Amino acid sequence: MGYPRVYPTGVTIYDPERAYNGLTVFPSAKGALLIDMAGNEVQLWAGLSGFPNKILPGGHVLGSTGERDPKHGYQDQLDLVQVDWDGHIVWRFAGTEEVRDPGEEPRFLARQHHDFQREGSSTGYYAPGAEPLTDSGKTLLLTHENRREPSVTDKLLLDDKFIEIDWDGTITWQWRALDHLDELGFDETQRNVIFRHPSLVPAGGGVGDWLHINSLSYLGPNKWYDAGDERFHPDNLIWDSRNANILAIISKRTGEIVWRLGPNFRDRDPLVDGPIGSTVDQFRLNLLPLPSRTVPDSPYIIGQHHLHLIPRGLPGEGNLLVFDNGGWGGYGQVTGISPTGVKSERRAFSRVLEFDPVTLDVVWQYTAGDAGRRNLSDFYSPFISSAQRLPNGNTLITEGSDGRIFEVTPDHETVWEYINPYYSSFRGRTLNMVYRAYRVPYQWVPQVTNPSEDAVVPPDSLHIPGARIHPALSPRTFPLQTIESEESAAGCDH
Amino acid sequence: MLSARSANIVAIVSRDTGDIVWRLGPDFARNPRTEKLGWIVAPGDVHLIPRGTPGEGHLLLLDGGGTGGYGAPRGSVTNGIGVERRDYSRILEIDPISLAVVWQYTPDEAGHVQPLDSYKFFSASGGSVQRLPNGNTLIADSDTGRVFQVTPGHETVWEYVSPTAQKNPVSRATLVPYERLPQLPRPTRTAVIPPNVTDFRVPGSPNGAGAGKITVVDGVDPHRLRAVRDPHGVINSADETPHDFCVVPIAPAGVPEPAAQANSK
Repeated sequence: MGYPRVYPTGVTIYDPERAYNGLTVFPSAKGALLIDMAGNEVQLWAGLSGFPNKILPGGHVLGSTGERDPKHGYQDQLDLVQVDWDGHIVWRFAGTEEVRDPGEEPRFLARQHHDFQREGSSTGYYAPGAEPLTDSGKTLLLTHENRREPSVTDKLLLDDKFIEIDWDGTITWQWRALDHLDELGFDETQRNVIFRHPSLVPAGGGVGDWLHINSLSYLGPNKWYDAGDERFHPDNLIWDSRNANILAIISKRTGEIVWRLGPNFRDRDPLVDGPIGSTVDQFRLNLLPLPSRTVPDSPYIIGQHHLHLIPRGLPGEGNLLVFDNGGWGGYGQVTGISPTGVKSERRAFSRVLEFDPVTLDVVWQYTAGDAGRRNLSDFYSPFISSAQRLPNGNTLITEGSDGRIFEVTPDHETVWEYINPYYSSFRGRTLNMVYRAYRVPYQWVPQVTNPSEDAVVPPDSLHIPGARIHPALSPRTFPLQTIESEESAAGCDH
Repeated sequence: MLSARSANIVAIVSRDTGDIVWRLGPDFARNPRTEKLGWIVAPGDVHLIPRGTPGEGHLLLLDGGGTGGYGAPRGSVTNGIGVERRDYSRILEIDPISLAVVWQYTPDEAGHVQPLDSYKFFSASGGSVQRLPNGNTLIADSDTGRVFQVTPGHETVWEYVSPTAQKNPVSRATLVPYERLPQLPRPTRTAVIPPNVTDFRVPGSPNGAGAGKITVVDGVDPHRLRAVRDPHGVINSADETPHDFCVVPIAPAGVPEPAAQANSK
């Protein structure tokens, strides 16, 4: 949908009785920003990046002190640091690889991107009895590695590498996607497109960001493993590939892909997917109906973000939660809009899907239609974004491209909403994008002693000074009313 | 003159013979002139700009985007219906003889970062476009219920959001000269100055900025990252962010996607 030029920012909806009250952290245009439920900024770690930022118990934050120059590296973070409440760096890792960039001394970088996990918590967000460690333990990082692999393409590839490090920064385990090419399920058309067009980005003279893995977490304790299904060993890792539309779980022990959905979301095809009974099964997702009259069939998950298993102790535990962006993703047949076969799948709306990883039944979803909107594109972020399950059963959603962080009940009602008021400049344009936000329980940040829980009730109407019209606002924020009378227009607020 | 939304066709029919005497689409590939134009998806409100109006003789249309066209089944489009998909709209003013784009309003002219925020100009279910006597263009964005007027230089000089757009999408809007409605008194002019959205809050919502602790991190310039003062104001290049975003570049409409982006910067 289109956007008006004027809309309110900050907290626009807050129902203290029904929201899960806590603090919210996100990487803003000013640094790592922590806000209370009313939208007051309770802490800014100024200038600290985060891909993403995560809070640790005790009021610490994880993030990065800077990014590698985009001329030489794509989305590479210099380091991963743990910073205390007063700004002291208490832990730092930058030892993935030594790089020599033009004009720079040789230096070691983390090359971290998109995700990391600290031991103690599978996902980095709150779950009962699973707190991330703050003064010891392993850290899991999603990193980049440049590599040539002639069987995939003649171009330089930007591969994704998972590493696990101990507290002292020693790499104790690693996994590289290119080593598992044959387990990814690409068909011949896709292999051919990747060979010619492996999603080249300009960094370092051109490098193929062929998979663009953008989330990585542990499965953690779960009912599937308890019932004997080895694919769901708590140490196993779950991740997704944005550019290839792949969702997968790998064995921590063997490195093999033991569960996969995509890159082709159709009924099982033995010719492509291997013999029936193989550990890598691929089925069609059993979708819930989309409550809209104009929706094309949408069996594909496209350009998705933040796939993870809902941790034990939270409502929906054991199910997978994913922000299925839509937008563009995947390799496939050439069309008018995709003349090279790159980004061959497109969908102009997003959805959050919660599904059973064994039956592939979708058990809960959030779309604009579920929220009562006529137009499905009213909920849409073609890139970034995330979903976090909260202890009261609500879900915190980051609709990243709109800078919109909001909390919905299982019945799709919005009980809290925040529009990021901070815009960064990019090529003369501006964006208030939020990569990923997390809700944090108060007890993780004892330094915040008096957070505001003052309700914010969305007004029936909101007027720009001088205007006597109904608001030019983010229209989905506000219940739409009939045109109000002159009296209500007198209640103009700036 | 007609446009066929589901088939991605724009055409002129002879009133005398019924023959289609001019046609654009449904295939925009393999012809240098239409390739340059870019794929038109789900077009609407196509018309010839009338004599006496700036741009007279050109075609004006809403290239809506969304889904349109018939083609080979693929991945998620198993029946071949709506194979072409695009998450933004374009207003195109086209010379019908040369097929050159004379003027356009796309997400780029609207000031959005492409392709990331392209969908912020996106009127998929309908909408309209009208050339005004002063050379401005009135655009109706149906799903948002937004009707706005832009100058030839793409500045927004008027914007209205329908309060009932959820129930009644604004499929078309027409600006009418005062003379057509002599029954109405001439309205007075009162300018509406938009607030800075960074500070614009609903009642009861605190501004929140700088309300709490601001912490300097060891070795990190606290001003390393900077928010712009007003996202619609003058952007200071010193505030430029170094970020790369999570997408492979997509060429603007009308430019074929390059095999490699290595030379683009």
